[in-house]
Amino acid sequence: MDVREALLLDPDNTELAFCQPNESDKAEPMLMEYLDEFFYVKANGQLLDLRIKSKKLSGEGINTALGVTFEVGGQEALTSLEIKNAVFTDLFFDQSNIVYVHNDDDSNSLMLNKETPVHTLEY
Amino acid sequence: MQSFGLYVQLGFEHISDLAGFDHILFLVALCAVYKIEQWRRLLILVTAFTVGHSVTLALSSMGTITIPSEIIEFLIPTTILLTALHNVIGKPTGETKSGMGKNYAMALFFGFIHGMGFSNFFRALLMGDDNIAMPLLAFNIGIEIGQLMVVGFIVGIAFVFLNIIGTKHREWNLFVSGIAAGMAVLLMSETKFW
Repeated sequence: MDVREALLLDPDNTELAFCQPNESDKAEPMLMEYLDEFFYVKANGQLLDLRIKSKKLSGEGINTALGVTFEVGGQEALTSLEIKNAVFTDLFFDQSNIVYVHNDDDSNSLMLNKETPVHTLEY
Repeated sequence: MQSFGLYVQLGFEHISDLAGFDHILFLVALCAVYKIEQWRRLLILVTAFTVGHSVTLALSSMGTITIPSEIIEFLIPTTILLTALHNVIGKPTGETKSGMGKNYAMALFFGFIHGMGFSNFFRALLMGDDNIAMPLLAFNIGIEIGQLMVVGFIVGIAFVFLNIIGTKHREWNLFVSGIAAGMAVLLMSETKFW
């Protein structure tokens, strides 16, 4: 079972048990492997090494959404943040992904999709 | 984009999304049988629907009421079918005040069901955010903007057929309600939960 199958066809499956207390050890590495292909964040032009801080499945049925939180610290002043989120846009033409960016007291929300998978925030 | 604008956009896109056309189809069944001269009645009807779906969107999003989404997904096309049948079987639109009162009550009640459908989508967007007031308000505003646009479009099309082309009201009613009913039955068969 790959991560797309697990999340899309059977989010409550017991094999990987995404976001459940009994989540499989394989679940998060599989998710990161998938995200590495479709998601990235570049700070000041440098690709960030992302690690999952938390994740959550919300909603139910066809309205199920997966939320993943990353937290990255750094001393360097942030001048730009380039974000790509093309998750599931290969499967659904109308897939939209929401990205919330919190930098100190500044917050931004982005909606990325197949047409516009990448956005750059300037600081 | 700030979060408020994002949720307005999400609400707007949710109701106007042609890929998920059930809410649009309901508005078609609800509004398309009214002539533009009946705009006051149409306005009250759409307002009743808005009040209904706003109430249950809020209550359901806050967790005050909980109904399994598969039941709601089935009930939404059921509201379309019943509205379409009512258009054809019931008395012509707004001939009597009591008749319109029933129509307003029906729009309000069906609004309750659609509001729970909106909340199923809305709740999936919330990622454990405790403060849902701002997203909820913005999402609802987006829905209202989308709804106004859809209703305006439907009334415009009805105006063309009824006032310009001169289609008979009864024929127009049968045509629109028949299409809505047929599509509703298909949706009901797809969302059957038992």
